[in-house]
Amino acid sequence: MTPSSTSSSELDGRYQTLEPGRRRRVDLGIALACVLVFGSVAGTHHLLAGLLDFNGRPAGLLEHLPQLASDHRDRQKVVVFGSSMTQAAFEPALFDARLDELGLDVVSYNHGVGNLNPEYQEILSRRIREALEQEDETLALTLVELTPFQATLTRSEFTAFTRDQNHALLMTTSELCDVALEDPDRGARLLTIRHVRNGLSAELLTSLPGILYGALSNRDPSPPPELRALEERRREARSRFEALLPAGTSLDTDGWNAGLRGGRLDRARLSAKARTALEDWGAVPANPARMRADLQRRVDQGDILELHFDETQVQAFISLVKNLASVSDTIEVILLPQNTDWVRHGPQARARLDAVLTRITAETGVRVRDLQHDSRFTPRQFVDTTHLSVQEGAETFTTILAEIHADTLRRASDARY
Amino acid sequence: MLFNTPLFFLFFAGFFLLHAFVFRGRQPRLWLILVGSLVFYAGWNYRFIPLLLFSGCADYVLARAIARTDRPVQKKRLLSLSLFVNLGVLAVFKYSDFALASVADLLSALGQEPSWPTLQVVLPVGISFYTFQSLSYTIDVYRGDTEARHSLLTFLAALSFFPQLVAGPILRARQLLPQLESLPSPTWAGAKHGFALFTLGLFKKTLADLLASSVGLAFDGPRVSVLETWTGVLAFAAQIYGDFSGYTDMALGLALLLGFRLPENFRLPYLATSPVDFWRRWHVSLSTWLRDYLYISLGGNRHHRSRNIMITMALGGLWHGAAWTFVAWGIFHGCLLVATHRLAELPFVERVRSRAGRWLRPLQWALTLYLVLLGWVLFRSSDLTTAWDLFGTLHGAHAAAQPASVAPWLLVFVVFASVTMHLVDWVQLRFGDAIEARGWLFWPLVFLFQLFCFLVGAPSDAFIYFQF
Repeated sequence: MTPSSTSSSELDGRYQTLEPGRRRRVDLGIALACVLVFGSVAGTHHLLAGLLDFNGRPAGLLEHLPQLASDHRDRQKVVVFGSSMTQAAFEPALFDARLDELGLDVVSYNHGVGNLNPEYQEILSRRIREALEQEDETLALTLVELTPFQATLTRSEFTAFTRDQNHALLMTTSELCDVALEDPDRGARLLTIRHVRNGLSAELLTSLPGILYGALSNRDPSPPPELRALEERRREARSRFEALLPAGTSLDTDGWNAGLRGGRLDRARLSAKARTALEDWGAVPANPARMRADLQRRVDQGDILELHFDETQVQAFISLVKNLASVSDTIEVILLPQNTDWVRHGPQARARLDAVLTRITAETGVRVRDLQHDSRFTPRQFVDTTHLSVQEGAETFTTILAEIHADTLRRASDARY
Repeated sequence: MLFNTPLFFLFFAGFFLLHAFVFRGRQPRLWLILVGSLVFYAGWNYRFIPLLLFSGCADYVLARAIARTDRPVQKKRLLSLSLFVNLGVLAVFKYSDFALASVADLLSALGQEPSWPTLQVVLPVGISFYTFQSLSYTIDVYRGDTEARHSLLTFLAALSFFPQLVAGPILRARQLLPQLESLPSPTWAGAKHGFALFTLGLFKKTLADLLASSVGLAFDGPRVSVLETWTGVLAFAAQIYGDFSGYTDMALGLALLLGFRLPENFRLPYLATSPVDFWRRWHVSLSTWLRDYLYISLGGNRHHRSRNIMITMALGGLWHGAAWTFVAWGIFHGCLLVATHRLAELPFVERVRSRAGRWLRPLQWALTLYLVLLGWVLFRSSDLTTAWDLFGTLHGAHAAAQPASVAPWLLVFVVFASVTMHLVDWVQLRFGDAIEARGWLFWPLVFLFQLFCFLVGAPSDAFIYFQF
């Protein structure tokens, strides 16, 4: 074997000086081949990215924003904005129903989106503000979830691979062009993600092996039989409940359900059998091994116990609160309930969190409501170390939220009419 | 502006269209190559364009002066000036902070308290490549191996030719200058070969990026098990090969699409069966540069061969970066080369080789790979203490007791990626011509490889060798 990919002997026959006419034909051939190869590659990628639908929820939310502004103009609008924790915990249908019982006509929306740090949430908040300003509409109440571990240095580092993807998806074309003027390389990359790659950045896939490795490393490869049986019971209970869900409803958290205004479930539409199945599912205890692995993942990826905050993320959170405050009659920052069996902050972490909360209040003038240690929530109501469960947690949280804010909304309603 | 980024695709599309259809004639095309290459370079940092032009202009003028004079002493002085200018530029921009920090460390060790600040000099991208290239021109002119060029434009266009500007291969004057003087036309067969090389280069680069997190496992995190450490070291070996040889293949492919031939830089290096063989296959343009311009100048094989090898390899290591780890890597390889030469001279070894014949080759290959991997530990570690610690971990000392449950799968992935990189190279070398001749096979393969790269490529990762 002669390991010479471009040795002279091989290429001598390939290169010669051609007369202009022939040269032009070769150059045309090269140009055409480039267009066809890269065109077909980009087209196929566009198609595949569409099928994978990685951006289902944030993209769906962005698409829905014009309706948020234009629909239900005669009703008080409430938006709960936050992370996947909000996404899991807040049920607009239940919230509206509870307030209806209290004599209030409210339409609420779940704007919880997973995997968005405050830096990206801030961009999303700009889109919400713009949509409302365009229609000269305001929200009666906005609740903004602060997820402390999403604003940490560890989290910022861990999610760096999503930066381009999120910027390309959430920024306007005009903002992307501004980026391109400042940093042409990055601008071209973001515009390509947005317009050629169909919103799917390469890093998202490239980083998967590392993430998968980290996640699998935290798992016990051979759990004891009783834990395996427990997992199996949970899976079966969930399947039984899912089979009884009304048409058009899904526990899938990736998409945006416009009918449920971003929520997952309308409990009023559940059959009696479905309710029983939901209760049965909720009765299966959590798998401690899975919880331990989940906590470790949150520690590795978000510094959930120590909370060393990232100034950029804190600043972004303050900006997003200001963005939403400008289009809200009332706005409040909330800290969602904490699974105290697993997540317990030491005095230093608590002090760091308190400092951030104080700063948020000082810089935005917005009140912070801390539900982290609210006794109405128990560890049983969590599906993992951070998310409230669909069985009990979400119902409790949504109901409590409605009751807490009923007076505020009533006052706003009285003032309005 | 990396070759695997959208901005480069836009740049190259524009450059190609202008080169092929708008700029006719030699002079306009040379201007286009020069200006286009400077625009490409400006994509990193436009402030260093004057430095690049300064290096080029200085060597152009000095080479002309060397050619004009008949006095050997004068020639030598002019060459010394060229060496002073080029190595001076490298010393200031690449090694000044390293030198200051090293002296400060030494003084600290002696109980002194040095208080000078570091200069915080920004390293111009590709400086090690283009200064070596420019320097080789004046040395070649001095030795009479090439003629001093009359056209400054041609010389600057060759020096800054964008496919090879920032990460090589390191070209000699006789390799590119004649091509820029004749401006050859691309043929369809050459263009297809260019497509093949670019695609394979992109593929290797993509695989290299996928290995990045596995590399971090051994080098960037807390201490892990023996298995995971070996996995990380193997991953780095594959990553640096895929990254660098991938870049070179892309450079070769792009040049071919424009009608230019650049020399090969890699020849399946991890199939080497001795350290000497490894250096004939790894970064060939650098190893031959060091051989021709440093090793031979020191005396080569004629006298003090071991000393010459050690100096050449230590400086070769330092060329890669201003850190003691790189110097140690160079010295390590120098020791291997000296030991290989010394062993080869022993009658006993010669007898064993002649008796065992080809059966010895797998053992030689495994031993060479093992030594090369140990070398990469020095190369990749942040400091010598970490490298020493990793040497221990690799051999069972102070490693974490248990690997993660999925560690074997990671090893499988790393080995698969490493083998795949070499396999595609081997297929390209062995069957490349046959595949390129069959359009029905060639174009779908190009499409599939490109699709893979487009789908999982990581355009934000820099090429490792750009930092050198």
